[in-house]
Amino acid sequence: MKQIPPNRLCVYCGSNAGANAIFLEHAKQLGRTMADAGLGLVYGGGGGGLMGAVARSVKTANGHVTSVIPTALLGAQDMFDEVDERHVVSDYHGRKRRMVDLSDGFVALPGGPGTLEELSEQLAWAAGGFHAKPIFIVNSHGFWGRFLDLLQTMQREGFMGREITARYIVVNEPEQLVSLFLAGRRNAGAASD
Amino acid sequence: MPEPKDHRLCVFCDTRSASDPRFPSSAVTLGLTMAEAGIGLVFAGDARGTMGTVAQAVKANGGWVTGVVLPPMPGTADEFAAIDERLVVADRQERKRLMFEISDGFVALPGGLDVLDALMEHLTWMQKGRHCKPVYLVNDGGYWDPLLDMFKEMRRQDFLPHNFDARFTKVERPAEAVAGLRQHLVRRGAAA
Repeated sequence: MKQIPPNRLCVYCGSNAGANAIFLEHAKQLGRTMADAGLGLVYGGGGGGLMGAVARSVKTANGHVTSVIPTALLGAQDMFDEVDERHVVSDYHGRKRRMVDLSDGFVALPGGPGTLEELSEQLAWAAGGFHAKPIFIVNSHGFWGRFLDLLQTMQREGFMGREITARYIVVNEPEQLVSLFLAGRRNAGAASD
Repeated sequence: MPEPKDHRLCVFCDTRSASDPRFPSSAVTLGLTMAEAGIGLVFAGDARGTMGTVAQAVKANGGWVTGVVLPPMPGTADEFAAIDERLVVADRQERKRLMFEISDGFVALPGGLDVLDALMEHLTWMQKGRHCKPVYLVNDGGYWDPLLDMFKEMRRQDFLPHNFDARFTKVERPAEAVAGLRQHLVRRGAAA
């Protein structure tokens, strides 16, 4: 049994691989760099698409994977089985809450409406002061460009405060976010000493 | 004293005020049209910003307002004073669930992250097959164009479910959302 890593990142991404090969490449790069840096993965437990690629890459690089799945998905076909820790929760709301509680930061790779929903929720919770964990947006091949435009529109129209812009970090490569996350943890540690 | 409404529309909009003066004016139009159509408002009970503007407009035109509120909001200055029906919930998730259950449809006005979060949650609930109530996106002044473009990018990149576009109706003006809900209710009534 693998020891629980001191820091875990919750990753949201597509349950399929998408049309651009760079997405899969970034999913693998993220899993590998997280494992190398000793960061555990928290995710929804899927075995397909970008989700499965992240989880497999974490395991291949000898990292730690935690899945949080609702009872409705127990025994589903496309789940990833080689997890180190599995949490079974009663419903989708319980799943979201557990994933947030277990994680020290959030990452959005490219994905569909479900990914955007999770990302929006984390941004809304951060803006509402419900957590102070960093949120990373991996803008692979400019995928999230239109969404970043929407955030700017919200700000311009007075619907979003300036403080939230400090809470999400846009990177072009997954490797960047791992080092930024670790630097943030070091700073937080130094500040609390 | 207005009667509790048979039909209710849940409005997602912001507790901040917009800098663009068009947005408050469409919030007023939405509230007025709902009251005239006999459709009650479901909202989080907030008196502030665009949200408060909608509620005021509903009340000013003789409509019905249901607030689904979190403690400690009841009785505080932020709470809309003229609520006809106040339902107190324990947390944000319970609020979302109750608002979903008691509403016949949903409309998103221009707004910030909370509006986006609520909108996206409803659009993905449909994906999980738990939802066949109409969702209207009021694209006032093209406000939501970047989001609609994001959906297009998801389609291009093979991330969008094939039936996704059918999950919401984009309208230019709030009155179209109210008219759409009325038609939906007539069809639903006929089918029942």
